[in-house]
Amino acid sequence: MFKRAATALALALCVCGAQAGYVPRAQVEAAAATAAIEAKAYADEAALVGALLHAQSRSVVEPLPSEARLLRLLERLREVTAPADATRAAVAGLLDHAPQTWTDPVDPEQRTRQMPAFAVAGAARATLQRWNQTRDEARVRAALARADVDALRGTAPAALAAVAARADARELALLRAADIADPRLQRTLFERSADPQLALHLLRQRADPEGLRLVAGIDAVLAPAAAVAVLTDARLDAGYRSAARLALGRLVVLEPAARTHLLDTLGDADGASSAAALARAEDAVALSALSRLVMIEDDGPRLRHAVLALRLSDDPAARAALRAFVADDARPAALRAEVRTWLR
Amino acid sequence: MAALSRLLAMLVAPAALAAQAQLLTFTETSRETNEIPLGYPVPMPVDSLTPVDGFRSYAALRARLAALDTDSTDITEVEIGRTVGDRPIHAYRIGDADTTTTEGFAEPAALINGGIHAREWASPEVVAGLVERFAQRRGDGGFYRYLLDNLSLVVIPVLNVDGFLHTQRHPTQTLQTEYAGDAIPAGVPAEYRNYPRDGRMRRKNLRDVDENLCPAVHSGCMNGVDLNRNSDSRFFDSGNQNSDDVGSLLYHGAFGGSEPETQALYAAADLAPRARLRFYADTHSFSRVFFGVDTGVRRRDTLARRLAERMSAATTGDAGRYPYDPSPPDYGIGSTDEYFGFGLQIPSYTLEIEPQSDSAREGYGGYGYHHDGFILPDAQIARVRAELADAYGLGLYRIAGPPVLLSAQIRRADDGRIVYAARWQRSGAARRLQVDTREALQAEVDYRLWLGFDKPMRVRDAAGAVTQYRGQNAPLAPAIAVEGLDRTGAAFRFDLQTTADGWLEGGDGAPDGRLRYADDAYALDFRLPASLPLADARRANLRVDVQDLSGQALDADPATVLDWAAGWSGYEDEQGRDDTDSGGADRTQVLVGDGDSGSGGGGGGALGHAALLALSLLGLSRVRQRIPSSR
Repeated sequence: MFKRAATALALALCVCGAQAGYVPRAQVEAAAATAAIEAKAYADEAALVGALLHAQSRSVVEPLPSEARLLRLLERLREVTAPADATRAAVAGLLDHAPQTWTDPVDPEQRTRQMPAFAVAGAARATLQRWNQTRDEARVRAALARADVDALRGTAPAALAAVAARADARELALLRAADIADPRLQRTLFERSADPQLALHLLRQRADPEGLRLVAGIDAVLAPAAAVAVLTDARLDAGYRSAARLALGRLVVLEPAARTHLLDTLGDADGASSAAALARAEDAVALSALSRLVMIEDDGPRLRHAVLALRLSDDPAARAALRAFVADDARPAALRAEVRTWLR
Repeated sequence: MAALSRLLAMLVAPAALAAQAQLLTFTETSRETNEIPLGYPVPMPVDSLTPVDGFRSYAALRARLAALDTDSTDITEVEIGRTVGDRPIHAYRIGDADTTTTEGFAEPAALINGGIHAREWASPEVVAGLVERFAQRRGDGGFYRYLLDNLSLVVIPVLNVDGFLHTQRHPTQTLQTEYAGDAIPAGVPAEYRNYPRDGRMRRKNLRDVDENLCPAVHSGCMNGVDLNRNSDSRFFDSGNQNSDDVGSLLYHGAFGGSEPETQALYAAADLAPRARLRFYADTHSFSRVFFGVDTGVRRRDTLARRLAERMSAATTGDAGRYPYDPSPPDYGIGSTDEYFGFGLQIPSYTLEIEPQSDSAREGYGGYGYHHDGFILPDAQIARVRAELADAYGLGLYRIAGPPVLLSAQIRRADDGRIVYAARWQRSGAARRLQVDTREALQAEVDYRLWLGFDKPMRVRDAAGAVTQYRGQNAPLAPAIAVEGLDRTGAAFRFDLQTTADGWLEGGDGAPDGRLRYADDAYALDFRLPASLPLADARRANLRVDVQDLSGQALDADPATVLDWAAGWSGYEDEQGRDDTDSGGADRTQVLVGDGDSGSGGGGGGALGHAALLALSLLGLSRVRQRIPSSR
């Protein structure tokens, strides 16, 4: 084992060539341990900042101990609740810190490629964001207490969303009145208020991961009928339509309108999504409708997507319907031939 | 033996396991006990067939690809095997229904794998994104249509289906464990043996593992086989970054090819088919690199490097964005790129998707957790899909073969009369030049030249102007000359003035249209000066020097058909050598001949090597005579 490992390490060095700043992991760990002890010795914010600036100034000359110190000092500084401007500036000065110490990868995926030993820039970002979030949430709460809607509009959206997640009815109304076009805040407000209009407002804008999260969880917020109304809205952004169809599939057994919509839209541009939704619905009524449809529909997207729905279904009845389709000479020959290959 | 090894490992496993297993939860910013803040929202599987800013659920990906199969005759889903958990593994054959090129030769093939490691969510998205790219642009009449007609591409978006589903069931949680059996260099402190393993960070398949999130290391969840160490190759049991310990993150399995997923990969190769494969890539994350293998076959190794560099440049225009990092010929770990690289002597890669090291350095705004490269932010994946579809597209185009000048025609501008027309036609396993018309060209007469190639030579921008494929730098205009030997045997040459505007996107054949695909033909108007000794020349021919959009020069002798044999075969340069992999100018279109050009074959085409040599020397001391073209 030792021999193999030593060979691998030697190969790592000779294949890649140890780049400038390379330090074996053992030395990285030792430096990190030393730096952690050192960081505990600083009593206050000013001393920590002084040490931080000193370590930064030495990071090219003495990269290993300096970067180890930077990381530990940043972790200590994260505990400061109300940093001085000079402290913020010192930390912000590390946001573009270029790694100076490189070491062996921590994961086999990197094979022999060396990795930065210390994520200094990332730690600086984490520290700053923590401070900013704390400060901004306090500002939001103060603005809400004053009912100052204008002040809300100038606040970072992440803080607004965090406060909205715990806000009372009065605060929610104020946050909504601010009419801030931030997807995360809009999703949070929707989840807190269960107002379909808020969902529609978000989902009619350009698709965003927050909107996709809203769609994924809509059935936990709205009653089935209201959720169906949102998910079938004709003005949903194209980037949400497939997700909306699949979300509708979860509502089929609760709300017949969902099934109807999915069957009606099999032939449109997102008909494949309707098909996937129906296949997953495990709904006997939908399956029966699809089985009928494939026997009567003219060749085209609607027929193809009905066939696709049966293909994607795990229900034995779906395969039976496909077999019947294949056996019917009156059905489109090319599609029957294709379906036949699926059934093998 | 294998069973015994596994049994022994299970007996000793509890003793080998340290008690430092932790169930960790990924968060955006919260850093309570056992939480790991990433600095961005933790991606959750998105239920959407269409590509979005996020990572799709396996069910949605599967439905999407089945839909593309249903809607397109160019995409066919094939079940290539079943997982350890008896789930189907699907490959997608991308290409037209036949197995021959538009000329009738056997198609080359390529295989692209994805999702071999469960936690690398970017991989299935990138491979599925390539299928979507083909589906979206199959009607482009150019670049993608050419590939669909002339290449057999097989892709596997998710090979490790069981593992991928496992990670998607636990998108925010992982078990981090120390395991003494892992192959880690000596001197590495225990902290760095704390690999995240099960849940979101599962790497291996589910061999001897239940479907649930591992509650503790003693439950057996450390089991499973690293499918990228399970290849049936001489490096299977090398001990290089692989292990015979069943609990290791790098456990290579009981024997090479032991896992049904590995067998499914081999079945996909057979589907391609294997004998025609010229390209293999296994899509992973992360490190932003093309890993590869130098097999010791110089030409193959050189071409593999060039191809990787071209693909790298095609991602963003930065040739160094995805550096090429091959392992030496005597070193291997049992990976799939070794299996295909050594086994078939083809370019074979392990593409590691971005980031290079962590999210903080890459500029995603993350905090730099050392394993966050496996958890690309939702907001990045759409861009990554597009970049790597461009890269793979370029690689496939290049490996489909260097370009060939198939047809030439010259007609008078005044009355449209054709004075020269010739085309290479398939003749068994070779080509033969069919000259339909050959009349003497005259000085001071306006002509229109039309050239047809076997592939799209250029792409266009949104405004319709000829442009470079991203990151490539082929000269946009071809170099075309009329050259020859006068009655005394002295060489002459006249360069025609060319521009990029001569490429033909539409239309139908000579003199103003494409041959088969958008921008596979070129036309220009020209006039030869009176000083050119055409009337009593011993011979004269066209000299056409052009690179395809990936920078590959012409096959100088179309008579011998290009193929792959650990390097290009049938790819001649101007001296007729077929072992340089460089190609060169085509001089096979003979306008005035001392040898009848009807025969075609041979390294010098119709002109003969002696004449070619003389004309090559001309290149050193030629008198340039240029007149403006009317185009």
